Amino acid sequence: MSKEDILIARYLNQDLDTKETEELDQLLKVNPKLRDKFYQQANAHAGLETEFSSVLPDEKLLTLTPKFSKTPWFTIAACLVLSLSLLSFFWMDEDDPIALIIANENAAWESSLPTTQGSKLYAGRMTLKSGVSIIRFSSGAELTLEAPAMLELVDSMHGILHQGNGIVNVPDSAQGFVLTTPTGYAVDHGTAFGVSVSQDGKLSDFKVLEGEISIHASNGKSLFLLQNESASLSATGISDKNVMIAGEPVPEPTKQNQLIRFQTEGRCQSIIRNNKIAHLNPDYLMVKLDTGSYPYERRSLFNFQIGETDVSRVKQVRLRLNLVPCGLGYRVYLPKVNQFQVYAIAGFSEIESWRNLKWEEAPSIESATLIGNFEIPRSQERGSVLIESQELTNFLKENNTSEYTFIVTRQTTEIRGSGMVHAFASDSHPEASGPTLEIIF
Amino acid sequence: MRLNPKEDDTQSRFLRLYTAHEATLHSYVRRLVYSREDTLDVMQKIAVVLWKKFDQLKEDQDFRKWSFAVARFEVLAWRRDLAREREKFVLSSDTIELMAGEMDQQAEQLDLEQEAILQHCLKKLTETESTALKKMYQKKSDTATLAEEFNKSITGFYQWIYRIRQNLAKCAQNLSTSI
Repeated sequence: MSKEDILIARYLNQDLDTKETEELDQLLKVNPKLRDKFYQQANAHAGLETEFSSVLPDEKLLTLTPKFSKTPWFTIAACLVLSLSLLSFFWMDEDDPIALIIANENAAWESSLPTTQGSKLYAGRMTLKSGVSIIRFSSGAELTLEAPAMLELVDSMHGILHQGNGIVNVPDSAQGFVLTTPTGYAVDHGTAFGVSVSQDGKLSDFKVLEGEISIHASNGKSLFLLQNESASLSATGISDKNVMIAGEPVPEPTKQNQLIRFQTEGRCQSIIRNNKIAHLNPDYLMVKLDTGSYPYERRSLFNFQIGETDVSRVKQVRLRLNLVPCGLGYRVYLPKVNQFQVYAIAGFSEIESWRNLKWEEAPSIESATLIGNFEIPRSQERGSVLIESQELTNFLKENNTSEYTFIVTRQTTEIRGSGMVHAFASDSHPEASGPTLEIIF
Repeated sequence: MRLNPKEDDTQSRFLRLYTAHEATLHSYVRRLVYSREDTLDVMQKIAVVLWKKFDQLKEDQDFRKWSFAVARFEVLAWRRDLAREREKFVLSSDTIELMAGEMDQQAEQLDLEQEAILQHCLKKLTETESTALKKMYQKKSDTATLAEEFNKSITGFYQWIYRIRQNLAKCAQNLSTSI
C-alpha cells in the first residue's frame, strides 16, 4: 500500500494537517488513477457512514416557500422511487450453480433464490408453499418435492429437507448423495427412495423404492434399507425396519387438525394516500408510512370469500403474508425494526373494482377492528409473516360471515425520506404466493 | 393549505422530481464535501435553489442533469465560502472542481456500488472489522486510541481501514458487473 493511499484514508477521516492536505491535493490533480481510488474510498466511506454513524440530531426538514402565494410553508416528505430491484439478483455466488429447477407443477415458491422453471440454484433455502417441483442437482440426483416443503441446498451432493415429502432419484453418477433431515441423514447408494419429514421435524420416514440406502441417526446408529423396506428416524434413533408392499404410498405424518386455506383470487390491492397509482404495482401489496402529511403512505387491502364455511366453532385462524422486495426506497432509511398492524372488517363487498381502488373509497382503519401486530427488521428481505392472534380467531367466530377484508398498515415511519416501501406478494406475484387465510377446525 | 390548481401542479411535479433524485444527489455531494454536517447544509441549499429556479427548467429538460449542475455549483460555493482556518484542511477548489466533473460521469455506477455495499458486502465483514468501523464512525474515541485498542500503529490502523473499504468497493464492483 502506498503513502498516497494512507493520505486518502486519513483525509476522509479528517485527520490531515495543512501540509499533508496540500500534498494530497497536488497528487490528486496529476494522477487520474489516484483520483479513481479516491472515488472508491469516498464512496465506501459514505456507505459506511450511513450504516455505522449514529443518527444525526433531529433531521433538518426541508422547508420551501410556495412560489406564487403567501400560503404557509410546506415540507418535503421524500418518497424515493428508485428501482434497485436489480440488486436482488446480485445475491447468488459467482460459482457454478448447485442445482436446476427442471419442472414446476402449480408450484408456489418462497425463496431468495430464483424459482421459475429452468432457474439455476445456488446454496440457500427455499420453501415450496404449494404444488410440486422437480429439482436436479448438478451431480445428477433428482428430487421431486411436494408442498409444503422446505429445502436447503448445500452443494451438488448434499441437500437438507427440513420439512415435507419428496422422492429422490439418484443415478450412478451421484452415488453417495446425502439427504439430511432434522433427525439424521440418508446416504444413497444408487437408487430411488421416498422421504417424508413431519411438519414439526421430529420424524423422518424413508422408504426405498429401488436399490439401497443407508440411514444414519444423530445417536450414531445406522441401518441399511433395501427395496420396499422402510424405517424412520427420530430423536431417539432408528425405528425397526418395515417391509412394505410395493406401490404403497410413503406414509404421511398424521394430520390432527383439518385446515382449510383461502386465497384472495384477485381481490387484493394497495392504496396510496395521494392516489398516484403510478407508485403502485399490482404484483405487490405495498405498505409504507412516510413523514409530513403522509402523501406517500400506502396500505394494503385484501379480501377472502369463505362462502358457507361455518366458522363459529373454529379452533384457530391464521393469516399468512409473504414479504418480498419491491425495489422502492432504501432500507437503511428505516428504523431497525418496523411495526405493522392488521385490521379486519366483516364483509366489504360494495367495492366495484379492486384494481383502481382510491384512498377515499377504501374502508378506513377507524371502521375496522385491530386484530394483530407484527414486526419486520429492516434487514429482512423476504419471508413468511404469520399473524395468529386470539383477536383474529374471535373476530371470525363472532361475525361468522361469508367474507372478510383485512387492512395492513405500517406504524413506524422512516428515519428520513426515501425509506423503503415494504411489500407483500399479491396473488399475481410471479414467485411468492399471495395472502392466505388458514382456518383450522 | 389550498393552492390554486396551477401552483399545486408545479409543486407536485417538483416534489416528484426532487424526491426521485434526492438520494443520488446526496451521495454525489457527500463524496465531494469534507464532512457529513457540511453535506447536509449543502443539500439544503441545493433544494432551495432547485425550487427557486424550477420554473427555468423546461418541460423536456433532463432534471437529473440540471440538478447535478446545481449541486456542482453549490459544492464549489461551499468550498469557496469555507472559513480561512478550515480551508487549510480541505482539498483545493481546483481539485474539487476536477473531481466533481469526473464523479458526475460516474455517479450512477458509484450509487449502484454504494447500494451493493450496504445491502450485501457489509455482511462479509468480520466481527472485528465491523466493531472497528462502528467505533470509528461513531467518533467516540480518537484514532490513536482505536489503533491501540486493535493492536495497531496509527498508520497500520489507517492501512487496515483503507483495505476494508477497498474490499467493500471490489465486492460491490463484482456484483454490479455481474448483472
